Amino acid sequence: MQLGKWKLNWFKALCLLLFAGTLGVIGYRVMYGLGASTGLNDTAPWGLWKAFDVVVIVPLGGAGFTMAFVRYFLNDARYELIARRSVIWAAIAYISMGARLMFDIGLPWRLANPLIFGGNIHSALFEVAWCVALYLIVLFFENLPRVAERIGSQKAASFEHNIHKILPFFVLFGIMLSSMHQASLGTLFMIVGKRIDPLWYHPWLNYIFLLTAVAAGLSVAVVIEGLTATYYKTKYETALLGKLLAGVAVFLGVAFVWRIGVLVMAGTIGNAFTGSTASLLWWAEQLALFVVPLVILASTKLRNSRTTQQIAAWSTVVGMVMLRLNVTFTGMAKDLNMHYTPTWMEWLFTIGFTAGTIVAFTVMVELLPGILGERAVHSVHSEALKAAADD
Amino acid sequence: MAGLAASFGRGAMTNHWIDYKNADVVIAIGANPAENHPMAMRWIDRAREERGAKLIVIDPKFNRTAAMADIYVPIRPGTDIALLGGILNYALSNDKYFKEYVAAYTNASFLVDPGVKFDDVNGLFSGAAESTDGQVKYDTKSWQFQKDADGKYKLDAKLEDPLCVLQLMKKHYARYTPKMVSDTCGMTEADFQKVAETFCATGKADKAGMILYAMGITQSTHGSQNVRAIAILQLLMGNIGIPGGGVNAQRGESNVQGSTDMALLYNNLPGYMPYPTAAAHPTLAKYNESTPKAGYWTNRPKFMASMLKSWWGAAATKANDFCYEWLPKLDARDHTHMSIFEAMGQGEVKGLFAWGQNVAVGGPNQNKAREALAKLEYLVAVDLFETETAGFWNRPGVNPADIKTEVFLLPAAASFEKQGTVANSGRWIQWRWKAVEPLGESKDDLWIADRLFKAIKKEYAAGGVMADPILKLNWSYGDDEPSAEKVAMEINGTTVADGKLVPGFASLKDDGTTACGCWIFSGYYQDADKPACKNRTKDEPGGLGSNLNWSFAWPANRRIVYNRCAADPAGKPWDPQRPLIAWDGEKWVNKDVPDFGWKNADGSMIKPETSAANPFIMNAEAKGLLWNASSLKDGPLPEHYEPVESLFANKFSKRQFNPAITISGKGDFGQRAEFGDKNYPYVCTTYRLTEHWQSGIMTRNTPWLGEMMPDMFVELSESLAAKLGVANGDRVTVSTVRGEVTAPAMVSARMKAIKVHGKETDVVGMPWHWGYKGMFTGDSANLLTPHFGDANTNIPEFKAFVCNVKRAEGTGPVRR
Amino acid sequence: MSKGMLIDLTKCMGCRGCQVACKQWNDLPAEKTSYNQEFTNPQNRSAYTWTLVEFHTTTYEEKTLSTFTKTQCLHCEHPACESVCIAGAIKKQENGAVTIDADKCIGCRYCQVACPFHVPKYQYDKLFPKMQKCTMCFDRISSGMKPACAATCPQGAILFGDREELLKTAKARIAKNKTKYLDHIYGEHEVGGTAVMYLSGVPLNLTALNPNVADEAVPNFTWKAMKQLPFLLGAVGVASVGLLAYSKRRTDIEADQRKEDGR
Repeated sequence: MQLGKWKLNWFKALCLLLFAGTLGVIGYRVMYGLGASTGLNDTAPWGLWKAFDVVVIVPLGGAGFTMAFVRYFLNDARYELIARRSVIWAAIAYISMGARLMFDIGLPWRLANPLIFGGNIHSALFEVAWCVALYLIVLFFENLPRVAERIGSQKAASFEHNIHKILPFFVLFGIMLSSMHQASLGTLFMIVGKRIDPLWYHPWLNYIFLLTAVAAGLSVAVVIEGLTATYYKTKYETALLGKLLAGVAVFLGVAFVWRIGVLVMAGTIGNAFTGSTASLLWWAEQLALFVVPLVILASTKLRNSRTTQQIAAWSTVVGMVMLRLNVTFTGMAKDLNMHYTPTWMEWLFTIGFTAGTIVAFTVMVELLPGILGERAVHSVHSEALKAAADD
Repeated sequence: MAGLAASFGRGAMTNHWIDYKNADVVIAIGANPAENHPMAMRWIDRAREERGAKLIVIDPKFNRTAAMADIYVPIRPGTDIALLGGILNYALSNDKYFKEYVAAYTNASFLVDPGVKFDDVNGLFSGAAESTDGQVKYDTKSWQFQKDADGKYKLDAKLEDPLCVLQLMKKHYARYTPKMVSDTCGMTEADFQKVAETFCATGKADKAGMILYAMGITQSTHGSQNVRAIAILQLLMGNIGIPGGGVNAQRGESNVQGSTDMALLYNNLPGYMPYPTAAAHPTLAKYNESTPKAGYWTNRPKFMASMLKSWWGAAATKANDFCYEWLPKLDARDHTHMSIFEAMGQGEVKGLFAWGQNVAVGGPNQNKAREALAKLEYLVAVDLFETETAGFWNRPGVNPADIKTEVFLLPAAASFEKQGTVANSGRWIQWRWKAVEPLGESKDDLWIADRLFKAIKKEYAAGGVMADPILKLNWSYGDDEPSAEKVAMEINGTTVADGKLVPGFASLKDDGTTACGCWIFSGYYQDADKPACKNRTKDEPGGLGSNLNWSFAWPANRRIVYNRCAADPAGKPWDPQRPLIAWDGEKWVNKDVPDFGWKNADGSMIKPETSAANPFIMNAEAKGLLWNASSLKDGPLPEHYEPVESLFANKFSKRQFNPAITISGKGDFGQRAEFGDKNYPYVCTTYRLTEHWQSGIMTRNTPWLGEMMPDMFVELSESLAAKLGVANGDRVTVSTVRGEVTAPAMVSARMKAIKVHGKETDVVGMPWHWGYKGMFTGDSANLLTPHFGDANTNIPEFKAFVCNVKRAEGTGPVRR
Repeated sequence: MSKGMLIDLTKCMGCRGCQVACKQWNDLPAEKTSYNQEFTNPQNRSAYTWTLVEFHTTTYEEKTLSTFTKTQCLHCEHPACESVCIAGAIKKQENGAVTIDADKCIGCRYCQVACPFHVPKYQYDKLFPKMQKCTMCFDRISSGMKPACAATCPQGAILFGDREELLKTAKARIAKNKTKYLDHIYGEHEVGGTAVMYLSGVPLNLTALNPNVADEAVPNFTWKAMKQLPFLLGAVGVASVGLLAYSKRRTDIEADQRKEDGR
C-alpha cells in the first residue's frame, strides 16, 4: 500500500490564509458575541452562517450517502474509488458543518446539550441534530478502513477486518439517517407555512429537499471526480459518471415536476412573472437547478461527455445552493421584514471555513491510502456485503 | 377657575371623576383626557358602555381622545366662545333648554339694570373706559340687577321681560348663527349642528350632559369667559348639581387643586378668601366689611379669625385683631407669573424660589424669561432633578461667566417618598403614605420648609425689622422631623381651649376660640386616629359612585356640589334613575352630602322649598349665575373675541381681542405680531402628550417614558407639508415674533387644514415638554408663546398664536 | 385552568401604561429611540420590549382614524415556538403561559423563524444572549396576580382570566353591541387558538394584528412531515435492501455466467 504525502501549493496556501482569517473571526465572535460580529437581528435570525454553513453544507455532504448507496446497494464495485472520495468528503463536510454551527448558535458550549440532556422530539431541528450526530459516527466507521490502512498497525488491520464485516449495516444506517435529515432540513422551513414567498411554498418541502439533496449529492461526486481527475490525475470515469447523472436527472425531474405542479395547482405560478427580485432569483434557481442539467442530461451524448457532465453537475450543485439560500432568505424576507446584510466577518468566516474544509479534504485525499490510487477493488468488501445480504 | 367661581360660587370641578360614568353626553373641549387625564377615560368609557353615552371631542388636533370619540369636531384655537355661543343660541332659539330648572335655579329671571348695554358694533359692554392706548377698563359694578325698595332682586318668573337675563342672553347670542360660528371656528355647519343637537338633547330632566375642560379653555386671553360660556350652557341645560353633569375642570397637575386651595395664587388666602390689600383693608374690620352680604360667604369673618389664630396662636387675640396687622398686604399691582417675570426682567426681584416649578420651560416667552432669571441675585430650585431653571446659567448659547446669579439646587423627595395629602380635581383630599425612603440626600418639601423657617427664625432672634410675625408664628410640627399629621391637624382646625379637632367648618368661630388653617378643608382630619382623608372604603350608595367613605372631598365631603339642583323645587329627583338627593315627603334621602340647608341643628328636617330658593349657597344671589353682575373684569356675559394674535378679523364686532386684558410692554415681554402681519401666516397651538408631564423634568429623566416619546416635534398637516415641501422627519423652524423652535416635522393626518371665513387655514401644533436638561432634550415650544393672558387670571395665551414655518436644514431630531 | 387575556381594542386609548408597566415589572431597560411620526416607539418589539403599542393613523370611511394595538406574545394554545425548540426550552404551561427556560436554550433561534407573530426576540447584543418574550407575567400569575399590563391598564382594555370565560365575555360584548364590534374574536381560532385574544371595532388590517394567519395549529405544518419519517425510513430501508438483493443476485448470475463461460 502506497502512503501519500500532503504537499502545499499556492491554492492551498491561499485557502489556509483564508482559514486563518476565519480563526480570527471565531476569536472575535467568542469574545464579543453574535451581534458584534454578524448582521443578525430579530428580522434575520438565520443568516449566512445558518444558511450556508448548515443548510447548504449538509446536502453538499450528501455525496457520501448517495455514493455509498450506489457502491453498496447497487452493489457496483466499479464505483469503489468514487465512493471512497465521496465518503471522505462527506465526513469532512459534516465535521466542518458541526464546527461552524457551534459559532452560529448563541451559546456554543450548549451545542450538544439537547442530545445529552434530552430535547424536543417535535422539533425537526432536534431530529436533524440526532441524525447528523449519528451519521457522523457512521462516517467515522465508513472511513475507518482508510485510516486503519494508513496507520498500518496489526491491531488496526484486524480491527479493519472486523469493521468490514459490519460495514454494510453502517452504510444502510447512514443512508437512512441521511434521507431523514436531508428531508428534515426542508421540514425546518415547513413551520413557516404560507408565510414563505408563494414561489417557494411547497406542502412537502421536505421531499423537495431530499430529492434535490440526492441529485446534488451525486452531482458533488461528479464534481469531485472532475477535480481529482484534473488535479490528481486520477482516471475520469466518463461512463460511470454518466450513469450517476442519469440518476440525477431522474431525481431532478421528479422534483421539478412536483414543484411546478404545486405552483400551477395553487395558481401562484403568476408570481414568477412579476419581475420582482424574488421572481428573478426564482428563475435563476430554476435555470441552474433544473433547466440546465435536465437539458444536458436528456441527451445521451452530452451525458457522456466530460465537459457537459461537469456543467450539469456544477449547475445542479449551484442550483441546490440557490434553492436553500432562497428558502432561507428570499422566501422569508417579506414575512420577517428582513433587514440583513452579512458583515465582512460573516463572509470571511464562511469563505475561510469552506477553504479550510477543502484543504482538510486534500489532506485526507493525499494522506489516506486507496483514495487516489488505481481502482483496486478489494474482494473482501464484496464478500462482506455478500454476507450482509445473506443475513 | 375664575369663571367657575363667577358662575357657581366655587372655583373647582363641580362633580368628580367617578361621576363621569353617570353622563349621557360628554363634551371634551380644550381637554384631552385620554392623553392628559387617562383615568378619566375609564369612567367616560363606562358611561358609554353602560348608558350608551356619546363622547364629543372638540379640539384643533385629532388627539388620542378624539380617537375614542363618537363625534370629533376640529376647532380653530381660541374660538371656543364662538362655538359655545352658537350652542347657546341653538338652545335658546329652539327652546332646547331646561326651562323648569333654569327658572328655579338660575338668575335667568333676574331683571338687569336698564342702563346695561352691549354695543355689538364695537364689541363693548357698557361701563367701559377706554384709555388712549386702547386699553379698556370696565366699571365692574355697572352690570347690576334691578332691586326693589326692600333690596330684593326684581324678577320676571315668566322670563319674558326684555330686561330679564334670559331675554338679554337670547338677544346677545342671536348673533351667533350656525354660519357665523362654523366660519369662525373652522368647522362645517353640519358638524356644528351635530354637536349642538347632540348636546342640547341633555336639556331634559332625565338626561345628563357633562362638559370637561382643561388648559385648552383656560390658557386664553378670554379664558375666564370661556369657562363662563361652558357654565352658562350647563345651567341652561340643567346639568349642574346633577349626577353625570357639571362643569368639570380637569386640573393640569396632580395636586394643583390642593395648591390653589392652599392659596398658591397671590390674591388668595387659604380657602379662597380674598387676599387683603393695603389700600382697602388696612384693618381686620375693614377686611370684614368686604364680606359678601348674602350667601355662605357671610361666614367669612369666622374663617379669617380662625386662620389668623392658627397662624399666630397665643399671640393672636381678639384685642389685637388676631395679629391681622402682621399679615403682609398686597399693593395694587398684579403678581401673577407673568408679572413676576416682567418685574424680574426690570431687576425688581432679588431672589426666587422655584419650588417644584420649572419656570425656564413652563412659562411663556422663554427667551425673555430665561434672560430675566439672570437678573436675580439668587435662585433656589427645589426639585427631583436639575431642572432647566436650576441650570439656566449653563444653558446652550450662554457663557456661565456672564451670569452672576447664585443658584442653589435642593434635592427634593418624590411623591412616593413622603406623606401628606393630594387634592384631586374632584376636590378629594386623599392621604398618601410614604412608599419608599427618599433617594440620597433628597428631602420632602415639608422638611425643607421646616428647616428653612427655623433658620430664618434663628436669624430674626438676633433682631431684625418686624421680627414679631416671624418669632411669634405658630410653628410646631416637631423639633427634628416635622410631622405631616401635625400640619394636617392645624389645617383641619381645633378648638383653642382644649386643642380638640373640629368636625368641620360649621364649628368655626370669629371670637378666637377656634383655629383653622384652611376652612374648606375642615373636617378632613377631624379624628387624629381615623381621619376622613385616610378613609378607603369603596361603597357606592345607589350605584352613583359617591363613595362617601373614600377620602374626604371639600367642602364637607360633598361629592357633587350644588346638589340641591339634582331634584326639583319640591325635592323630587329630576331623574328617578339618578336620585342623588330626594325629599320623600318627610325627610331627605341622600346619596351625597347635601350642599344646602337640609337639617336643623336639632335634627329636624328643612323643607325642600327653603333650599330650592338657595341652591347655590356660595353666591350672594343664591342662584346659578347666567349673568355675572360684578366679579369678572371683562363682562357679564361671554363675548367672542379673537386671540390677541390671530389671522382673522373679529367678525362679531370691531373689537379684535378681549378689551379688558393688559399687554405689558415692560422689558419687551409683550411682543406680539400685529394683526395682518404677513410674516406669520399660520395658526399655532401647543399641547401635552401622555408620555410627558408638564415641563418634562420628571418624565424626561425617566428612560422608559423618554424611550416612547424621545424628541420634540412640530405637527403639521399633510397639505401644509406639501406646500412647504417638507417630508416626515425633515427639520422645520417655527418662528413667532418671540423666538424660534427647530424640530422634525411630524406630518400627520391628525392635523388638518380648516376653512375659516372661506380661507383654508393651516394649524401647526407642538408639545412643550422639552428643554436643555435631562436625558431627553429639545427646544421648548414656550420659546414661541406669548406673554399676555386672561383679563381675570392672567393665565398666558399658550394655545393660540400665529407663526411661520420654514424648512430647516437636515432631518431628524434636534437635541439640545 | 388555562388563563388568557382579552384585549378590547375599542377601549385602548394608546396611553402605553402597559408598555411601561411591562418594562418595570420585568426589569427591562429602555431602548435608544428617535422621533417617530406615528407615536410607536420603540419601532419593534425586542428582547427588551416585550409588549408594544402600535399606532396607526389613517383615513377610514372619510374620517381620521387612529388605532392603538397592544402587541405581545399571544401565548398560542399550540405554540409553534414550543414545537420547534430543539432543546425543549419553550413550554406551554398549564396556566396558559408560554415560557422560555433560559437555562436550556442553546440559541439556535429557530423559534424566531417559526413564530407566525414574530414574538421571540434575541439578545444579539449580549455575549451570553437569552431569547426573551412576554411571559404573561408567569411569576405574577403563578401568585394569583394579574399580568403587569392588565393590572395597569386604566381603561380595563386588557382583561385577564380563564380563557373560556374571556371567550364568553368577548361573545357577550359582540352580541350586545353589534355596531361597535367586528364579529370576530381574534385568537379564538387563529393558529388553533391563542391565549391572548382581541376584540376590534375596525377591520383588522387597520390594526397591527395579522389577519393573514390560518386557523390550523402551526406545529401541524411540520408534524405532518415528521410523522412520515418512520415510513420514509422504512421505504429507504426496504428499497436499499431490495436493491441490494437484486444487484447481488445479478452479480451472482454474472459470476455464474463467467464461471460457465470459463468452463
